[in-house]
Amino acid sequence: MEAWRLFKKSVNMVLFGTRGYYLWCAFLLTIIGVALTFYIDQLDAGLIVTNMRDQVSWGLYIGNFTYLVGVAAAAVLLVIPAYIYHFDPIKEIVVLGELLAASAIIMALMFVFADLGRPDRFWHIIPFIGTLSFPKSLLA
Amino acid sequence: MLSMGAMVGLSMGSISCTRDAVEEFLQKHFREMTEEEKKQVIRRLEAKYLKKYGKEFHISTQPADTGVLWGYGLDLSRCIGCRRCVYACVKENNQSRINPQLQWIRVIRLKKGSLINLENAEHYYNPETVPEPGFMYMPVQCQQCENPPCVRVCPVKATWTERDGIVVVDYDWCIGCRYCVAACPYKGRVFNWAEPNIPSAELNTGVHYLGNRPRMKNVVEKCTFCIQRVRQGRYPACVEICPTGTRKFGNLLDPNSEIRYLIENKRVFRLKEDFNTEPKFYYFFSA
Repeated sequence: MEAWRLFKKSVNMVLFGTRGYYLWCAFLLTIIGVALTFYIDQLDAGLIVTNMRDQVSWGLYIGNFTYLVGVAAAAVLLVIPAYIYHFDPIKEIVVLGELLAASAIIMALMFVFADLGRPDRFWHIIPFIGTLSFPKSLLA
Repeated sequence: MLSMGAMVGLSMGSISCTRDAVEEFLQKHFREMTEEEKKQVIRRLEAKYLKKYGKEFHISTQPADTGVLWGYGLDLSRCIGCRRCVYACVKENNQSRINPQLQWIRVIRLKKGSLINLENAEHYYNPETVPEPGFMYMPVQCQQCENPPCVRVCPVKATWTERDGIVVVDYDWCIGCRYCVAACPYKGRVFNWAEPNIPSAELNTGVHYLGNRPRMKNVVEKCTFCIQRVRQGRYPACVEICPTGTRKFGNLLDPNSEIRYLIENKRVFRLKEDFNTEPKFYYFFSA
């Protein structure tokens, strides 16, 4: 019951806002839509549309992935002064940090997924169903 | 699992929801298949290739013989840099010809006397005639390492070393992450950045599942010492075509083989030995 109320409250917060908020959301959704059309292009033609080649086989996708992982790690590390050293002034920022970390992680995962040549075979990497080579493969 | 497949299928547009597509989606790792399953997969693939290229393919799954470990020798004092091996390899192994153009062998040109200086090697040399005075040529391809970094990094075990020492890829299991391309110090792996482009008339139809069968887009591929040939007792295509006898090939476990003679009697070296990759590809100077 508590969880349901929290869910309803969050949905209300997400769905209703000022005019500026709607404009901002529309802007972001447009960007997502454009990106999605490009991604579908990439699925259709292959990774050749990224202009990567054998000489440079990892490009912006992986660059963004490593960058966002760093952002997420830094944001999460705010927890240490707040909850281990009990440094109170930082506690308000920690919430923001956690939100940033969550969104950065989601973006990082999406970048890795976009970098995969065969997303249709993604199940090969799921442990027990596929053949995840852990811990032999460092980044697996 | 199936719903995810259907979702991906819808978004890709090119996969229709037929039984073959579902079977293709659920196809197991090659090493986990039973003999019966292998036969089924081969039947499906042969039908698929017939439909796609209009040619009858014979896909072999011949396993490695015992007592065999393939090794390669390359005589640097003989190579003239003509690149005949490159094109023989492309023809034998059904690589994509153009857009993307894939080649498993790269011949690099070095100034004489600076063999150690690989940074200044030229891959795109293009003179009227070879050999050019003052230069030497060094073909580089997959070195079939005993301790291959590409195999270690693969997150889905889509590549492995066969018992006869050949590092192979299951093109139907590769997820196209290109981690192996990044890991290989020899640039031995190439990636199908787009749908391979081979004229139907030039297709080689005697293929091996782990070797030269036609690949699909967004998977990685590499030299397999012509697995389809050497397992039938023939030389790899590059050895056969070489006009100067630069390339040698044989069984490292056979004390009377040519390759063993070369290793014992010539000053051989292996490329980038300091990486501890233990290549089975020996370079040497005969003169």
